[in-house]
Amino acid sequence: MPDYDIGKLAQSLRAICGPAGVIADPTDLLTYECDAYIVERVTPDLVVMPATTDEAAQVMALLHREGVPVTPRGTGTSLAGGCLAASGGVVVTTTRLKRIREIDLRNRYAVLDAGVINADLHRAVNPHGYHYAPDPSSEQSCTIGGTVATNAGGPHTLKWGVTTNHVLGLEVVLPEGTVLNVGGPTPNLSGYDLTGVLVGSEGTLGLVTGVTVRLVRLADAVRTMLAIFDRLEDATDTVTDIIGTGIVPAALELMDQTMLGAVESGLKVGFPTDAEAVLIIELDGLEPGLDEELEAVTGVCERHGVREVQRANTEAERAALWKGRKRSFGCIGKLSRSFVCEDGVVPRPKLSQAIREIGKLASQHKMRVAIISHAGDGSLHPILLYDERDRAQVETMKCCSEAIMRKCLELGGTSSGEHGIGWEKAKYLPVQYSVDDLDSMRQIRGVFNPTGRCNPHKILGSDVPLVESLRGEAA
Amino acid sequence: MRELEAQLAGIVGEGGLQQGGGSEYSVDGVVPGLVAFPESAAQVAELVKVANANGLKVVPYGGGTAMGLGMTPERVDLVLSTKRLTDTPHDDRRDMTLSVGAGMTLSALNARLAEDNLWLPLDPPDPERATIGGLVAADQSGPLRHGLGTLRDHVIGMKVISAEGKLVAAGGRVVRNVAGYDMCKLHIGALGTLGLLVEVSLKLAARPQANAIVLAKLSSVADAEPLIAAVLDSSLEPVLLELVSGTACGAATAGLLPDGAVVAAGFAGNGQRVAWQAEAFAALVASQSLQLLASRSGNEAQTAREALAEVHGGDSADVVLVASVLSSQVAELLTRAAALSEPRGVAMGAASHAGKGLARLFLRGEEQALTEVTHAAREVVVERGGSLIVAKAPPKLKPLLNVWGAPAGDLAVLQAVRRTYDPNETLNAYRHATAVRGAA
Repeated sequence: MPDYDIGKLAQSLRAICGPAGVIADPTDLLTYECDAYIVERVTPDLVVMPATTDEAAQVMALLHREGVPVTPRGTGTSLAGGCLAASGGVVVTTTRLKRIREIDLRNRYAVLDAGVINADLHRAVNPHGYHYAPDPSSEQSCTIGGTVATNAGGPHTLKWGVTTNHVLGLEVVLPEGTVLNVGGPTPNLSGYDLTGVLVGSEGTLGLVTGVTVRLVRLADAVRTMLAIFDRLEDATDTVTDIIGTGIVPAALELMDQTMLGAVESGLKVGFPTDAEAVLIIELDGLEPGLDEELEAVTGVCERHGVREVQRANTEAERAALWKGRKRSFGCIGKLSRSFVCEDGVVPRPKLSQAIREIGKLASQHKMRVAIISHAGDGSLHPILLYDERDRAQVETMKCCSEAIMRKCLELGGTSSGEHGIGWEKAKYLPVQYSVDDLDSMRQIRGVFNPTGRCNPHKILGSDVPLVESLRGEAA
Repeated sequence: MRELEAQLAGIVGEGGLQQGGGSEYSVDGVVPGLVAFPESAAQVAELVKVANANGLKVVPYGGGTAMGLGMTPERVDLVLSTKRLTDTPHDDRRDMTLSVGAGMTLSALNARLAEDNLWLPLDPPDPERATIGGLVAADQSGPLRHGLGTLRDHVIGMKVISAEGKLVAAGGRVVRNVAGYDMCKLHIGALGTLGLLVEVSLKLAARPQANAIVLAKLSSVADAEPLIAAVLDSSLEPVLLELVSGTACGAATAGLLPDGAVVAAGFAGNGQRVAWQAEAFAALVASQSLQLLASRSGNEAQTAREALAEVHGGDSADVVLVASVLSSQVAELLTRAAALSEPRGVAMGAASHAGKGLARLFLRGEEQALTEVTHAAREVVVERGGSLIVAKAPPKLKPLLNVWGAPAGDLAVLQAVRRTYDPNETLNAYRHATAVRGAA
């Protein structure tokens, strides 16, 4: 039981955010028991939705005074349990912080409230010929603040870079309630790059309420193709050789045979189900030279024995190719009641080895695992299919998932390329980093979040007690 | 002291430690007591551990190209030269990633990578001297940052020696990684105050197939803004977009640039695309009734690009200021800075990454006048929401110039970060923005 009075706390929070800004009804609170990582669930005591930075600062100060654990949350699309209220307490969402504060096209930046949906920013700047480059698959529903928290990626970040490459500054409410502004459209030249360390800190250093992002020009022209490979190794060698030519595709995505089967059974976009892998390759930029690059890329595919290269000749054909990739998660939903999307990275030349090993681990565990991969970066998403109602399957899934992550680390990779560590992966950090490396991370958390009460047990363990149901599950 | 010296010599061996007197390793004229040349991260760790336990102030030293940054130290007990840290413990050309000792120079690294048609696309001044560790510690870059990024984009991992003398790794060796805090970002530009860099892991790029540089001459700096705005709002993808002005230019670029004002746009990559862009930029220049000065391609473009990068070194200047403003404010800033300099008898040259809003002002003149221009220029910059630091100045002027200006964010938070990692101020003491006294 918490050592604060939930009723009184709700009252004080309503005094700050108004009656519509606080959720206390047990049924309504269920929405916030997990994010897109559904394996663990904890219902928070309350959810509070500040509508301004000032309200957010008052909320954080109040929760600090009362010693309440805080879980920052956007729209809850985290795939690693970043929004799990592991110690109970209050979830603070940014969903009412929705203002686009400023757009400066001449200087190519925008200043946004943290709760602005990625796709809404696109809608605001696309008509002027600009976009915000990071494009996580959840872009239709995820918040900018959430992508900052996880340092999110997306299929098109191969050429353009991930979130950290596009965030110029942040407004953050620190755990004790003060507002810190770092960076901005004109980078400060002295001090430390606090923006850099806040991006990807998963709400453990404070609540991001405002974000200054870089805008880039939309590409003039685009070429998209599907390359079908009978052998997985040919596909991954193609990836390495394309990057080696100096051509940086906008996207270079790989889908394995299981994934192709899943997409075809759901969408019928015409993906071959007998191929071991396909690559979706997209080149963008200026029109001049683009066809030459397309030929060069096709040549690389041919050198590696590609079965067939299909070029999207119209926007409709391009959309069809991407539909198969971007909606692959939905298709998985048709094959299986539940799934967990893992997120590992290996050095690019080890991609096929990693995929083969994952296949072996899947069969050892009698688990269906489909793979999509941002192959250009060596980033891969094994998707584990299971039924959450079956305890045994849940345990097998966890076991298989862990074996996969450990394999990625063994191959010289990392336990997360774009989803973050959250709750789920905290156990892998001690495998990946030494005690001293982790102490150094603990030190920076200590500066911002000395009690560990702000998003406890994410990334690193914490002295803040876990809720009963999670004890024994912690890293 | 003798005993301590023996202890340090025991770590690096006889030839690895020398007296600092009269050495090239002085910092703003402050001569170090000792200079050590460790051969391994383990030796650096031992040296730092001993220094930290005995209250010695340690200054890391790479090629010395950015040693003008920061405040003058009160004392320097031990300089740690990274000269001998030049191993490449990881070198995977096919993966296009590499880990390199902090002491390898940029030109040595790129010469090696050229065998495989790869490079680290970074062009700070003086790459023959500048070391990877030093470049990261001082977050140095050059004109190519416009299109090809900064070390923030290229660094994927690092190893540092903490103030306690522990080896601490951050990041990894893969190009995408969000496992844990992005500690690399904290160290980039921290001047070694949070840990001494011993190894850096980098993401490499393939060398571009073709290069071009096109130069436009302006009758006044103010003419630059419409041209820069037009380039940025076009579909051109320059890798560099520079505005250079003043009397310093001609000399520094060996006649490449005339005195006056020049906008340079550089393109790299696919040959057809590069040629098309060079022509399109030339057409933009013509449409604004500006004079096309030169259009170079191939090796000539390379030479021109290197010359443009060298301008940023400001070797002949007494004082070098670095201002961060919006791209749209650069031309105006340069105009104002010239107007501040001239009546005070200060000769001013400027080089700027105009597309990114970063300008370097090179000043030559009397000390009083230099001080006045620095403060007045900072006022102009800060009024516009920007910031200005002093990258180089005569040591006796530094106390008068407030070399770091107001640091980013909250000074108390920055100082807390510093105290957490180096409570004794062993690493590069006195010099960093967090070393401001009385504000903690």
